[in-house]
Amino acid sequence: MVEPVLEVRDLKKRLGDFEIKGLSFTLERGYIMGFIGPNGAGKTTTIKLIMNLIKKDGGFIKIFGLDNSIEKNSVKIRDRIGVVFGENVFYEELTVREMKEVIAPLYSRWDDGAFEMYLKRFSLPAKRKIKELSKGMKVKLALAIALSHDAELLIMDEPTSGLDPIVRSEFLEILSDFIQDEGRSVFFSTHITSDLDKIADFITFIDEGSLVFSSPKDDLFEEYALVKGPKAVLNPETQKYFVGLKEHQFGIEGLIRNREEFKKKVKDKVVFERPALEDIMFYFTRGKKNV
Amino acid sequence: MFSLIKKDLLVQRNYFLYGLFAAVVIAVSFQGLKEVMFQAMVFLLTYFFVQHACFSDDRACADLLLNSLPISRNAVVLARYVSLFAFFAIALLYYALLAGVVKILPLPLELGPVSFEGIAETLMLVVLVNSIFLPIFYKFGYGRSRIVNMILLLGTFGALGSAGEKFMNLFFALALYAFSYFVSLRIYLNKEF
Repeated sequence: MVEPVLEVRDLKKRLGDFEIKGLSFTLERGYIMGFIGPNGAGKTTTIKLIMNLIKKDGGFIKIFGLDNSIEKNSVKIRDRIGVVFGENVFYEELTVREMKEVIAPLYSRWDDGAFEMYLKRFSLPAKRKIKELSKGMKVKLALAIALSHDAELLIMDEPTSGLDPIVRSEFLEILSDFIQDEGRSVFFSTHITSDLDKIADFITFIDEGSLVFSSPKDDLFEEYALVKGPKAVLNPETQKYFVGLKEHQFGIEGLIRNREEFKKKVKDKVVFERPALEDIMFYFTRGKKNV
Repeated sequence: MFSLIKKDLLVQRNYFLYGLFAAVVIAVSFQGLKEVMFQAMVFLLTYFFVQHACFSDDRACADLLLNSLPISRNAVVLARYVSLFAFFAIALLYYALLAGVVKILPLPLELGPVSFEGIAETLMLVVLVNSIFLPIFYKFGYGRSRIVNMILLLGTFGALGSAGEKFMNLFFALALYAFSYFVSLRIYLNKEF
């Protein structure tokens, strides 16, 4: 049996007032998993735990079947993954080429030809200092490095936040190309869920350090629906289907689960729409206060 | 690990130029104090290079980068401890260069000859100070370790010129440096970023 690329089980971590409360999810080889949640939900903390940048209090994380908390494994794992952080982590005084020269010898499968190709493709000037690059260019540099050592898993923490829509689209295009090789996978944290509407296969959603769901994206659209209709539709029996609800002068709007069953209950009294991931995230986090 | 030492040298490309200027200032300020001038110049240059390497790591959020690369935390710490010797060698080179220039050009400066003891005493000072500074840097980061830094710098000035009498010897200092490395490693292995 092929090991999952990333397996997180019952992951726990306390950081002051904040807590990761027993997260579990699995990313299989060949897929893109979107990792979503509102700001402060614990996405960056989870990624830091995956990268072993902070120590877990409980549970386990396996990457390529290896326990990431063992230092010896960590080095092996990092040789096979590419990481893109939302913030700049490169030495600003160095040029793009110098940064590459520091990093390249550390990887066992570094490909100089691939790096040069990505520099060209991303229009990254090799001789320019990193501090002179725009935010978009810095993300592209991180991506060029991540893609030039034949990484099997890309881990990205909010890479697209702060990027303009054109660079974001370009970025997503590159990810789609990357995933063409079936052995590769992407774990992509973001709060810009429209990026994931386009490319993700799985969605893992966390809020306040707890898992809300981890599911194939297409199943979400089967399971959940946006509904609009009159207030009369609301009764104790129908109310339990609502994940989140907004009431206004003319009626109600909300996200329901178990779409088919709900449909039978209300017949044609409401309008059904396909929710965007943003709607799902919105109703799960803020909308629940109104049900 | 050599990549990281190379990085420590690359990040201070500009600083190496300032270092040249600083070497001239020190040579002028310490005229007449031959042995002390050598110690002051090599010690201060090495000190500034180490400080700038640590500052660059701090500013770049280097721990996130370094700990996502296929390199152990041990190698990260060890590279910094080894870099110190590269900085020391560069500082020696600066002194030799300046002494050469002063010999060739009719400058009103005097740079005394350097003895093996002088080099050993200076290295001992450099190693002792960084044996204390580096674990503090790894524990508290660059910003918060600066006060300790200042105290160490002032204390070292008191020891210039008489280091050989006041401290045991270079081997003791190197043993302390090795111990300091293990302390730093322990701190870094348990550090969260």
